[in-house]
Amino acid sequence: MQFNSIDFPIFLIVVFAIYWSIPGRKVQTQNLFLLAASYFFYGWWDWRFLSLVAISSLTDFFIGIAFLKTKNPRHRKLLLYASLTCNLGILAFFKYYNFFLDSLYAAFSIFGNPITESAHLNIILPLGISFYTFQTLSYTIDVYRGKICSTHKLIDFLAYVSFFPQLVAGPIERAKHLLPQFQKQRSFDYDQAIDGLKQILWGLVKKLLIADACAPHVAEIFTNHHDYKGSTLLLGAILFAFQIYGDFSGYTDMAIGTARLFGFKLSKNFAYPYFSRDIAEFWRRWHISLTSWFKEYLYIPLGGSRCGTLLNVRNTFIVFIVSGLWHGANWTFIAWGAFNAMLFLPLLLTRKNKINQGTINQGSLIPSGKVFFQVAGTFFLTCIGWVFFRSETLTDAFQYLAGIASIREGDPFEVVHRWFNHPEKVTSDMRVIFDKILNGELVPHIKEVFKSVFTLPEIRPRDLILTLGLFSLIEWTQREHEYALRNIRAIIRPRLLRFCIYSAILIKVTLTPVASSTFIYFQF
Amino acid sequence: MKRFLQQFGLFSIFLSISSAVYFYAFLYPHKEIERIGNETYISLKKAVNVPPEVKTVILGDSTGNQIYPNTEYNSEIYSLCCNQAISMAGQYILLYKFLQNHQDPQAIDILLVARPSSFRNNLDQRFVYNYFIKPFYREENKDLLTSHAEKQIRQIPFRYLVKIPFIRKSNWSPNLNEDHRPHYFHISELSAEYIHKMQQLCQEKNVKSFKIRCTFLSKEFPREQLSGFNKEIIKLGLDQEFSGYFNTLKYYGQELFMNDKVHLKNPAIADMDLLEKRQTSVRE
Repeated sequence: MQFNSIDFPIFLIVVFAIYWSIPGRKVQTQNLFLLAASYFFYGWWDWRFLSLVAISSLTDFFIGIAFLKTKNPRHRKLLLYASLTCNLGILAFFKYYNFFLDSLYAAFSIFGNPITESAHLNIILPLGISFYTFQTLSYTIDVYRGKICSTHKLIDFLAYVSFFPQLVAGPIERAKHLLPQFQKQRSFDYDQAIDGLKQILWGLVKKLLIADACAPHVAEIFTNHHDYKGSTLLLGAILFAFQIYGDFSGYTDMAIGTARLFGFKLSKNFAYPYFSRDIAEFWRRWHISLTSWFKEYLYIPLGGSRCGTLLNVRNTFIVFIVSGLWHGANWTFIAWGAFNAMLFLPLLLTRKNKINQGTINQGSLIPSGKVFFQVAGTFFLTCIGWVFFRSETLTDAFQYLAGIASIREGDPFEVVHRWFNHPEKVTSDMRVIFDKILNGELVPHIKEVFKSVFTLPEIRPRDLILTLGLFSLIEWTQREHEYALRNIRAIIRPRLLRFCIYSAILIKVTLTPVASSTFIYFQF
Repeated sequence: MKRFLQQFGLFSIFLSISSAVYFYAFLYPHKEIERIGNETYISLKKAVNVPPEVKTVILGDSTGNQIYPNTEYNSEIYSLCCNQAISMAGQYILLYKFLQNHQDPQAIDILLVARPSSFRNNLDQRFVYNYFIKPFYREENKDLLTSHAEKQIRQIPFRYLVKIPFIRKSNWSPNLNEDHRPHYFHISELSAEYIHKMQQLCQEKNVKSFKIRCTFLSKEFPREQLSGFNKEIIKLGLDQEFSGYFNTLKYYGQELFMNDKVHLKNPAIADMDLLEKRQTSVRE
């Protein structure tokens, strides 16, 4: 079941009504009901994979109980390893089996021993497996570290892992934050509920009016990138940046808003990431729950930044590459992670990774020139990274980027194009490049790049660009608030006018159907 | 909770009223002549009420409609041209209706006039709702739809709403995305299927001739793409249907075209020259 499908509002109204009608609002009964509703929600997609959610949850619950019974460090470590093996084993099998096999075959081919018999399996990737696996793992690791106590209440724990608003696409909730909310009495809060509805509405705007509107243009440009000139390819990358932001943060907004209706407060996952002044700030604002997960459970245990420069570089690369791999079993995601690591490292090594904190240009509507260029530069670099993220293969990604720079076959710099397809030819081709530079062939090419990038793109979705402009403006003016509609009551006092705006948005999103509107992050 | 339910109820009432206002303002039923795609309704009417003396019938896209307006009629040429947005499926339905209502199909020459780009339509375009779903997606035409056409129709959102007469008569359509076809020309699966069907239908009814011809093109038309288009015709086994399509192409200066580089500013300049050519071609 998807948040933007017709089934979901019906499901939500029914669950909401029953949940708050439970006699005496007993926590245990409410949790049991939420568990049933969450399993129903997940089973709507494919009930067979409910077993994986259950196995993952039960393993960590019983390991948590076992932690209580032993103080022996060796035994505790063994228990932790058991949890890691079970959870990461399931994840590795379902998500990475074919990818690892492909990589193994490729490695054998490089060394002259190609494997002809295929051992590929036709595996369906279970919805949200990376999200709930990381969620249960955080519980076990925190219990092992003594940061939280194990829970004895099975229903509470199962409901925490499978809580339907955030089960399939996050935010990845830490047990220390969400589990206690399942254990205390929840009362209905009018302001929270209204806030929740507004956040759901804004999430729908992001998903249906931004992400889904960008999707077909992005698909066309990325699929036929060979046919388009640099400016169109650049537009494609920018539109994908909006698409993935609208899609993922839209889902998050709907998840947080839905949870609010049931008296829960989920963690913030996005904080206007495209208004970042450097890449380090971007990573503090984008997919916050995953970034902080990796920081707490991977980066710091590896030594973090409190070690030598070389180790620091290693740790940063590991975290970004694992983060890339978390998103998908493809070298493009690894390249995306490595690209971000390369952008992040200079800031980290010069200790400038924390200079830009807090709200950007607080209290001022118009950004200063410096801030504007910082934000534009960071956004541009992010878009380059997204090319790796969106492309089907690494070759596609490099060819797309080469297309932006007008490096095509048949031009003076076709050798560069060839490198992307045949990296082994780099050394031999270097000489050719130098020759071309010495012969003065660089100048016409630079002119060609400018001509290609600074001409009107072949695809000009004017309405969409206007919508994106308006959307960016709203987000910019509301960047001090958790989401753009949060403060609407203070800006628009008359209730009738607010109702008009909400109705207009609802009518617009209802009457804007699109052929395919699955959330991108479901696949992760 | 009580306050929340009150507010929620109040908003629901407000939303219902504003939706009704919106629907009234934007969906108000129009007369046929005011409807988007009204040329399609004219052609549909003409396909059913056929005068017995008709000897040549012309089907086609909007450029065809510029040369042979379907609002005009002379005893020799009977134009059912309307718009490429009706797709080849719509053209087939028009032809089917015409042949059903003509007393002597054996005496009929049929000409389909369309630019290469008109064959791309796979019922996946922006105007499909107003040009195809509303006029053609009816119970009476269901047998004329192939499984591929039905599959394409299933992807059109809110298609089921046309069962409501109010919607069918209105100008409302879901806000479909622009079509995102590749910018080279090609023949969609739907077009290939229905061109074959048109040919078969003409054979079954012993129609005198069935030919496909191009309308006018601008001198800036990317001619190199035509060779790819031709290859596709051969690949799809449509060479018989398209025979003569390429050697009757006519190019005009860019200055004679509207900004869309497709339609002529003044269709009158094309009439005599093209008309003569078409008629000669049909009679050959």
